[in-house]
Amino acid sequence: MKSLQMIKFDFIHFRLYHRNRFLLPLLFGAASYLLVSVMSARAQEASAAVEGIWGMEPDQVSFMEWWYYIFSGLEVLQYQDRFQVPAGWIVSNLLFLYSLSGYISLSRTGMGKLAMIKCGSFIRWILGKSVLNLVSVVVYYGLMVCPVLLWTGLQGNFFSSLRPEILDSLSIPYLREGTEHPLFLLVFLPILCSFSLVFLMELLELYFGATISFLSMAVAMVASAYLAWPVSDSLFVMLRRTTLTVEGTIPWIQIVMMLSGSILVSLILSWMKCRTMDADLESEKK
Amino acid sequence: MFRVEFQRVFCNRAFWIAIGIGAVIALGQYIQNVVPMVQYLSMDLEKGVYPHSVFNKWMGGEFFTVWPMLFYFILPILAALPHGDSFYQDIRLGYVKNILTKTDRKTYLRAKLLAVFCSGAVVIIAPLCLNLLLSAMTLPALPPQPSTGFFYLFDRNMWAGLYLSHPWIYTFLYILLDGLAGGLFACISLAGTLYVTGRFVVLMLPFTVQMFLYVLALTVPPLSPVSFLSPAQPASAVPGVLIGEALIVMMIVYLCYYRKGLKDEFLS
Repeated sequence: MKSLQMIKFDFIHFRLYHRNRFLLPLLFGAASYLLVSVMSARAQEASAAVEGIWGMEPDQVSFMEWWYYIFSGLEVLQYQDRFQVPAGWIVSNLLFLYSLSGYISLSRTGMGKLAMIKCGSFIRWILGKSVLNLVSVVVYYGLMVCPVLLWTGLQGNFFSSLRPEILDSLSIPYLREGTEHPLFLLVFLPILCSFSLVFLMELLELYFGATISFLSMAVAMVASAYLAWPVSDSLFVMLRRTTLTVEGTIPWIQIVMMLSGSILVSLILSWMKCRTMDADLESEKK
Repeated sequence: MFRVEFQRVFCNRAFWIAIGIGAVIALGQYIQNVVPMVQYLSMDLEKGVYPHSVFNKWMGGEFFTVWPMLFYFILPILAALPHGDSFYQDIRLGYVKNILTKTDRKTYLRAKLLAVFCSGAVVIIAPLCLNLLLSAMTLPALPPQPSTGFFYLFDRNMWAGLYLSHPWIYTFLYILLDGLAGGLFACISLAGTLYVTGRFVVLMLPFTVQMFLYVLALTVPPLSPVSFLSPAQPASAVPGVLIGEALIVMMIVYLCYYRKGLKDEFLS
């Protein structure tokens, strides 16, 4: 089985069993935008009331502001701060992991197992899964932003810049003065982060199965949100807003290198595990 | 039938894995947040400061370290892990057909429901009790004094009066409440069994509900179980919301599991 055929098989197989899970990002995108808009409107009205302005029309949250809020991460925790993981960040990432979770296990049974035998090369087999991950991340985030883009497009504030009054109303800090490549920092890095997490999850799935690997990822994400304080600022899973975007103390190239490295290491370890995982496959092949 | 189901719960590897994960979290919180406080006890007495109490240092009494957040966030997975997928597995592997030749559907469905509910409750209650017992062995059970600023429950919080007057009763009631929530979360898996495909999806159904509520809590904080299940109540619990959510889950379980199970052709 050639690589392209393997990739094609993965797409069909994946679509057959996992397509319903891709309704979740649509729902999440629409619901989170609605909730963020309500939060912002409430805060704007409250601050206008303090200033003695009544009956004002609150500004609508734009696409970029919604995205910035979802992936803004957590401020550095101070002593005796209540620790709560940001809902937007963790739910968007966990839903993405959930959309793909279980596919590796599925690929090792039934039709997947037959395809694996026919493929004859674990590198090709892993390549198929990697391409699938890449397409899935694009489709997932495409579906997530779809309702928001549609709504903000109809409202006419499609890509307005980050307005201070909206950022204040959502209690998120401003971007650092003179931030280079803000679109890259705000849009590309969170997606790359999700992309690297899925490889890590699939590696764990090869060892422990779908449930335990998903549970481990959920635990790791909550822990990473906490451990970034005060142990190290370089735990990038959280993409902490203060260190990355507000203070700019972490160079983005370092993050890209680390995430790419994590993908590479996961792939190598997966390949090593695949080589030894199912000895009876060889006999079935013969 | 009940005995068989309970035997399946407690002789199940997943049950002990769930208990183990809960115990690790409970021990982690104890080591990070309770043990270091022992050194301050004598100092507090010398300085005339109100010493640390078990009620604001155990896992249910604080929300400042990662452990309570972790425990309450993954609570639905822990609750469903031991036996939540057993109904799905019974149907998939054909075990249910063997059972139904020996007993009627009602008995089987009731026994399954009770076993799943109890497994979810036990898995949640055990780590909380372990942490509370260890903390009580280490720190004094001084009654909460709001004026010290070390205790985080205020007038607006649910059962605040009980917390101040009878903290032990409050704590035990809250552990029981968490157990009930664990049981209900596990039952969500049962309710979804006849509608979804895949063991993983069945196990993750309660967690999906949890994530949905966690997002909704952006604007209505009392909705999220992560907040209201902790005795520290990071977002004040509202009795109406608790009862409402419990009733909705019970209704869904009754309709989607029990009634559907009585008629479903998968089980014949």
